[in-house]
Amino acid sequence: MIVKLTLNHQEKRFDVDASETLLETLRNHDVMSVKKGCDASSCGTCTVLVDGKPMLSCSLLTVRLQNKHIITVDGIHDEVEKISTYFGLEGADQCGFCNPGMALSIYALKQMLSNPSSEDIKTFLVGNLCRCSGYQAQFKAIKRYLGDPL
Amino acid sequence: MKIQQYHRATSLEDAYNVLMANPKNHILGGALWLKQLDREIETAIDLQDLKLDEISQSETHFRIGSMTTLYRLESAEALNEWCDQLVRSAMQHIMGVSFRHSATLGGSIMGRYAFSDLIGVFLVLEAELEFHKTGKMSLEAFLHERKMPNDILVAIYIPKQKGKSFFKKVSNTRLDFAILNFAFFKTDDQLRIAIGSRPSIAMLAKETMAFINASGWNDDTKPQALELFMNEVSFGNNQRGSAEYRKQLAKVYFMRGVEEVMKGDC
Repeated sequence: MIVKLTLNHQEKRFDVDASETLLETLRNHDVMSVKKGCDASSCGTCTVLVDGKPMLSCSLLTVRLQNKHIITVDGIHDEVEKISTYFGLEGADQCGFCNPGMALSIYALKQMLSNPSSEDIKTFLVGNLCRCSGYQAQFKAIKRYLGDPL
Repeated sequence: MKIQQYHRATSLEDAYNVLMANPKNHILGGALWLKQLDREIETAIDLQDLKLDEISQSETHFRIGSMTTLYRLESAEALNEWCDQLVRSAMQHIMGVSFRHSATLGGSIMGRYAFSDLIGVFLVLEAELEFHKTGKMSLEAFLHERKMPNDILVAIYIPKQKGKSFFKKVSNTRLDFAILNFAFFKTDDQLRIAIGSRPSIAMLAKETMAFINASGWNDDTKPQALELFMNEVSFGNNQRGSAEYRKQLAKVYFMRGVEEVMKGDC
């Protein structure tokens, strides 16, 4: 089954099985920034943006994404640089496995909510798990990033 | 889970015909739990082109398309204003935002998930379901149907009723399924109470509701109402909690919920 979609601003065609998830399609085509964590809709490491909305690629069937626009961290490089810088400054990085999914959710948060409260930030990011940190350093880094203009 | 073929429906009738063609054919909602099922689907039917993701309102009702996402529901200002933020309160406790951008109302209802935080909310809001062929039936009647209607859920209707609400999900973590969940909704003259994840599916506490609606809520009636509630609702065990633990929780949150919605005017 051929699926045409836009991946990081470039048109792509994928020949996929009906059961194949977007996570599988991307990783089968060497888009390795999208991580496979729980593979059960729970951890957020596989987050991508679909038409600007954060979604879990482990649970999206690729066949449903005809003509959709998919963004991974590779498609918002400048914003990811900023997020990474603040994560570094606050010591929020350890293994880094959750960072791509987290970065995309943080970017979506900035796009979707204006002047989010601390509670808004926590509620928005509750689906992105990090097993290294205690979230405090990340939370400080996120607040600094949200203070930056897009 | 294995899907042999994919069909993007062009109309409800088209989707229905494909659904009827083979018992192994399946309508896709958000498909977030689909992977966890150990089953083979001959044809997965996608309704995304049928404009079933819209929320509209008339003088008396909200009409919510079955493909409306949970995130859209929690963001729906008019709906949440009418129900005293009850829908939003429940949605915000369901997994993360990325999950709620894909999960659909129709998928949540048709799945009849026992752990659902959403079903109790729609029970107390007196939701009515509209099926393509079967027509309309109340959510409550649907939950009591032994056999799932072999039909397509098109929309959910919520009557416009101003009221006071209270929702509580008790869980070990924010991302975990509920050990118990509670939804209370009080209009001018009616209190409705639902309890879910017992671990059985959500139910209305009808006898308790009838008693409080007839006798009121005061120091004399409170003990009797609590006793009725505890006798009427059954609790069970699963890995998240024992029946005994659930009973202790239920006593506390029943009292807290009714107190909350009985305060002041609607």
